[in-house]
Amino acid sequence: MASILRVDTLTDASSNNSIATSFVASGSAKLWVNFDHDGLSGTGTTGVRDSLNLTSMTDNGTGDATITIASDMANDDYSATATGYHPSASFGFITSNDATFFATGTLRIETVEHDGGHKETEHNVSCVTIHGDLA
Amino acid sequence: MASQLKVDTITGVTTAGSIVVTGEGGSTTTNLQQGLCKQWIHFNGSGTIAIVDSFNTTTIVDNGSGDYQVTIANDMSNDDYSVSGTMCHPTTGNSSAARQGPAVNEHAVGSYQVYTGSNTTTLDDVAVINLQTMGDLA
Repeated sequence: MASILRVDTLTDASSNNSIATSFVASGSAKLWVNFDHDGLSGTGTTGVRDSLNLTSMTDNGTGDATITIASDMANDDYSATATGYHPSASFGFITSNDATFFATGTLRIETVEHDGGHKETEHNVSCVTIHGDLA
Repeated sequence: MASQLKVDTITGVTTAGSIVVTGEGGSTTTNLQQGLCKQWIHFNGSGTIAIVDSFNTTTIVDNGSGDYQVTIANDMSNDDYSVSGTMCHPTTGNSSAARQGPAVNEHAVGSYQVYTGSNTTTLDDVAVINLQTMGDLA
């Protein structure tokens, strides 16, 4: 039978390593994903490798994707961190360079590489993690 | 009244590794085990590289300019995990030396490769790198 434990603080049995349950809830990642953009756009087959709290990912075009969050965030003020890897460039980066990219149920990202300037490209390995408040 | 639970291990009743935590807004829940960061590191990536602080990390290896390997102490269960991060160059102030990355590839259960680049198309060291690993422990 499912059970609920209501407690303010967790410590180990020796009373060390104490942490408030508010830190446990707020410190836990609310979404993470590892994906191959080629799989989203149909030019590859892998797509999402693994994830937490993800409904789906949508390909908006080259280097442009939307993450749909399963259990929504409480607001659009959450934190998103990421890494991206594209073989020809050896590296790249991921941006959410518009405040409108952040929504309670979605996060739009752009994956970029340097080619003398900067251009959107489809990374083979992209990882995104969201921290913040769930609804 | 504030309450305190003293315990060394938390295990789910229905599924050992599945413990649900109520979200901040009270209307949704999240899986505690899946939301926990399984490895994190803050390291200096230029000159003689050095770990500043870390969790579940054995070592870092300098493979050359902008090329590092992080070794995980307690392995992940597969290579599908997610590594997110940030970087900074130089160590203080507004960066005048634009850099790219971090990029993470070659995920293995016990290690992953990190790349950082200059503002051209070549790999180059950066001063500070922060990474966090999410996924399934072995």
